[in-house]
Amino acid sequence: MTVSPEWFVALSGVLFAIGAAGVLLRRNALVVLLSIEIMLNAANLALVGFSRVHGAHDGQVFAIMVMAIAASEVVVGLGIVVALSHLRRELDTDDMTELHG
Amino acid sequence: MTSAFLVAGGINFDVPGSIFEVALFALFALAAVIGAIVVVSASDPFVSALSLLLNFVSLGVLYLMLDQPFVALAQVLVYAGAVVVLFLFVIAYLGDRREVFSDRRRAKLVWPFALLTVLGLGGILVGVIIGSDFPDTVSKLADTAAGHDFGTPSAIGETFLTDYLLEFEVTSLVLLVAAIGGIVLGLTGRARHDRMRKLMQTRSADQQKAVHASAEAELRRTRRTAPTAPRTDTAADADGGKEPAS
Repeated sequence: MTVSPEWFVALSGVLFAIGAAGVLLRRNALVVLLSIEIMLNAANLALVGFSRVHGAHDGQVFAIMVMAIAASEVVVGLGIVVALSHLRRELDTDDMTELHG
Repeated sequence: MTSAFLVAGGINFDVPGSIFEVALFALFALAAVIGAIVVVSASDPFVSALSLLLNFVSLGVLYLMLDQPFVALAQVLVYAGAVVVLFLFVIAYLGDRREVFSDRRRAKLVWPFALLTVLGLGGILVGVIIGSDFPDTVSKLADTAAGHDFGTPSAIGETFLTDYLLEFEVTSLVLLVAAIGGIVLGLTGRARHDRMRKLMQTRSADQQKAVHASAEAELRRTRRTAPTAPRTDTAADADGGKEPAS
């Protein structure tokens, strides 16, 4: 019995679903950002796993790009969270309805 | 698979069908899943951030098992080293803001549907992956096109600078824009308004220096007068730390 790449890809599916659960169920803006990180990492694991399956470097290149984009997203997302924290006491995503039509 | 890193420690786990490999995968896959579940379920954001660290490090080990040391290194450096630390700084800065599981009607209404959606999504993803037919190239990596330098920094760098040069440059542009965005978002409230206006009005570098100097002088003056200010200020502070309307 060897570890085949489809185990890794299945694990990435499980992690992606857990991250999606966090985004949908949690109302703390910080935890929503953390859950998005889990989803990005799950996608990375799938990319890396498929890169291994095909023996090509393309998947790893994409994984590193995803890391760069995730770092940018964290900087901007946390900046928005900190800016919002000056305006309101709770960081509740259900209360952020300023753009609601 | 993991031979290069484990043989160095004097142990050869690279036996075909090695039980160690399965055990290693099971251990770190379990750690990653538990870390992710704790991130989603913990009421304290601090606990969430720390278990995200566990998730990231476990994924790094899984990348090593997939013969990709450079991605594993980048994973630990970028995510565990930078992203989680940034999250912890922000959580410490914002203080204790636990989520209140209030009995709001909307939240209660949405909960079951969200859970059902997520379970369906996970079921479909895992079902499709288990049901699909993967080519088995794990044991014969040396025969593939990438050959024996699979996953090394030099091979990845070569791919970046030949096939994906445009994407590489665009990624650097995205990082630059995010850095500028972080600075702009960091200037908040009145300070942001004043400084942005002054920076837009000034033309030369000398003028900008003068603006910084005057802003610092003003800051020092306000600091000096702050202790003698009337006590109504503390009442305003207690009111949720809101900035006074300007």
